[in-house]
Amino acid sequence: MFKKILIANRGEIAVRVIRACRDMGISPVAVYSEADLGALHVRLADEAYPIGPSPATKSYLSIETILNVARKSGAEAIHPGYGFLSENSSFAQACSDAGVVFIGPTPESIALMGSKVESRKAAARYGVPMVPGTVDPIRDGKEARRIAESLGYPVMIKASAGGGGKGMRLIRSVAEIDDALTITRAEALASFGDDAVYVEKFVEKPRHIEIQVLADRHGNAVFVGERECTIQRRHQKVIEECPSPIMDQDLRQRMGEAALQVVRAAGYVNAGTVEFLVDEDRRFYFLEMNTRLQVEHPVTEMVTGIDLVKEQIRIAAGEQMEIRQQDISLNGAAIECRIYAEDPENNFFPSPGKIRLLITPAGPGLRDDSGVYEGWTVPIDYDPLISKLVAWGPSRHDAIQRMLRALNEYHVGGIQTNLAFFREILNQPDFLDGDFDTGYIDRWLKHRSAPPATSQMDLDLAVIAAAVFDVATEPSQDPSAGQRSAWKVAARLRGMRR
Amino acid sequence: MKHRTAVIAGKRIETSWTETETTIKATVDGRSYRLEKHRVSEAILWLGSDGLSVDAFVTPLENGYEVVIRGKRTFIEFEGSRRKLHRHTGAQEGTVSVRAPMPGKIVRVLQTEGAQIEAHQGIVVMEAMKMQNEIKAPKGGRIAKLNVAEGDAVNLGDLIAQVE
Repeated sequence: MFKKILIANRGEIAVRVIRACRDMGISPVAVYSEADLGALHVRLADEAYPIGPSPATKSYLSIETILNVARKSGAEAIHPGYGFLSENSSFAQACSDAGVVFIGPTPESIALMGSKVESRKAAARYGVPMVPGTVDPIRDGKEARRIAESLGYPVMIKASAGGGGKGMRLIRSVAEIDDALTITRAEALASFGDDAVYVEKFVEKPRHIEIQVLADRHGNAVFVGERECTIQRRHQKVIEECPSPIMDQDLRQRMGEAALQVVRAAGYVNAGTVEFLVDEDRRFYFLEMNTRLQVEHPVTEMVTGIDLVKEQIRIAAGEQMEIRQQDISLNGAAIECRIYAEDPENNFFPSPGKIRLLITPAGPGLRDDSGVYEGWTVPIDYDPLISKLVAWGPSRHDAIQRMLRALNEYHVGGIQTNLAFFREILNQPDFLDGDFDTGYIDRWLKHRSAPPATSQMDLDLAVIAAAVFDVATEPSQDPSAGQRSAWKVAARLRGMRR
Repeated sequence: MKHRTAVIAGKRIETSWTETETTIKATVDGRSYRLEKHRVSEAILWLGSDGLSVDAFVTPLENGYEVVIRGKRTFIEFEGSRRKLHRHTGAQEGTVSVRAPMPGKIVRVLQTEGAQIEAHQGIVVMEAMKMQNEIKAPKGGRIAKLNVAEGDAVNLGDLIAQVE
C-alpha cells in the first residue's frame, strides 16, 4: 500500500480524499493555488505545496507542476478527485511515464470514454442501448439543421468533450440552431479546450440515473447500485439520491449489467460511473461514462457502506477487490444536497466572498462533506460548491425528513447560498412523490409561487435584533449617542472579572 | 429608551426599546415584546420568551443588515445609522443602470446602443465561474448606453448598460 498520496484537487473533494488517506494510515499531500492559500484541504494535509496563480489553467491544471510536487514530496500515487485533471488522459499518461500511480483508469480508457463519439461507438458494439443521434462531430449550422430534421425536434446539441452539464443546449426548433451552436461551441472551447459538438435526439421528460461501478486489475467488476440524479437546474445536478424512487430489482439488474458491458468495452479499471437516461416507459439509454469519482458518490456510500475512495486507492495499489456482486445490498435511502455559494434570489448567480458565520448540522444519519470553514473566503476562480450535505434514513421519506431538519440547522452567513431553495424543493408534493424529470426544477422556478411571507412577529424580531446590533456596533459620536451598549459594558465587566 | 427607524423594502418601521444584559423590552410599530436575549456569538442573537425561541443571524452589510430568522432572510436599513441608508429611487422609472452582478467576462453582446428591448430580454452574456449567464433588462425600453464590448473583463457593480 502507498505511504503517501498527492491530491491534485481542491475544495470539498480534496478534503474527502484526505480523509480516506487518513483512514488508511496514508500521508496526504496537498497542492494549492494563490487563491487557496490557507484553504481547508491545505490545512488538513501533512504537506502542502504552492502550484501557482489562481486561474486553474496556471495551477490545478498544470501537469508539469503537479508532477514536480509528486517527485519533490515522494508521493507514490496521485488522486485527481473530480474535474480539473481527473479525466485528462495526457495527465494519466504523464503520471505513468513519471512512475507515479494515477488513481483511476488507464489513459486509454479515459480517452475512449472522454470522447462522446468514440464512447458511443464502443458501447454500441457491446450492445448497450443508445439515444439516436450523430456519431461524428458536426461541421456547421447547415449540417446540424439537416441532422436535426432527420431526427425530428427537439434535439440536443452537445460538446464532444463535455460533461458535468456544461456545454449542451436544447433546441426545439430550427430557428434556435445557429445561436445554440455558437454558444455551445464557445462554452466547450472555454471549458474543455475543444469546440467539437454533436447532435442527438432529445428524450422527452427523461430521468437521469447512473450506475456506480468498481473494477480491479484482476478482472473483477461489480456495480454498486444506482444514483437518481434527475433533479437538475440548467443541466447541473443539485439533488441526488440512492436508491432511485422509480427503481426495482429487475431494472437495477438490467442497468447494472449494461454498465458492466460499458466497463468491458472500455477495458475499465477503478471506480467509474455509467450515466443513463431513463424515459417515461423506463427504457434506458447510455449517455456517457464518467471515468472518475462522482461528486455525488456519498449517497452510494451511505446506503451500501462501501467507502468508494478507499476502494479506488486499494485498486490503484493493485489489490484484489474483496467485494462480490452478491454481497452488495442497498440499506435504506440517502439524499444529497449540493450547497453552493450562489443566490437563488438573483438568478442563482455565484456569491463568492468571506464566510462570516458557519453553523453545520449534526446528529444521527448525517454527513457534511465540506471544503470551507468560518472565516474562509470562497474564491471567484472555481466552482462555487462549498459543501455536500447528505442525509440517510431507513426509507426515502425518513431521509428527506432528516435532510429538512439538517437544512434548518445549517447556516452560512456573509455569502448567499441555496439552502433556502432546498428547503422549498424538499417540500414540493411532486418531489416527495418521486414524480419528476430533468426539467422539473427549471419549470418549477418559472411558475413558483412566492415563498410564504415572513410572519409579522418574525419581521419584528428581525428589526429588534438588527437594531440591537446597530446600537452595539456604532461609534460613540453617533447622533443618537449618550447610550452605552449594554453588550460592550457587559463584555468589559466580564473582562475585568477574569 | 433607544430608538431606531428601520426601513424594510421601502417601508418605515418605528422601534424603541430598553435592554439589560439578558432582557429586552421593545415596541415595533406599536406592538410590544418582552424578550429574553442571549448573545450566542458575534453574529447570533438568541431571542426567547414564554413559548418563543429563535436564533437571529445578523450580518452587517454595507448599507444595513441581513437578518435570518427561521431560515428567512430580511434586509433592514436604519435611518441615520452609521450604515448609510440605501436610496431606493423608483427603480423601474426613468433610466435604469444594469450592473455586473459579479466579476467576470463579457463573452457576447446581444444588443446595440439605441435598440428597443423588452423587459427580461438579454443584453449581454457574461461568463463567471465557468458558467455563461445572460444579463437581462430589468424593464422594457431603449438602450441609452451600452458600456461594454465583447471580451471586456468587468468587476462587481461595473456599468453594463443603461435602459431608459
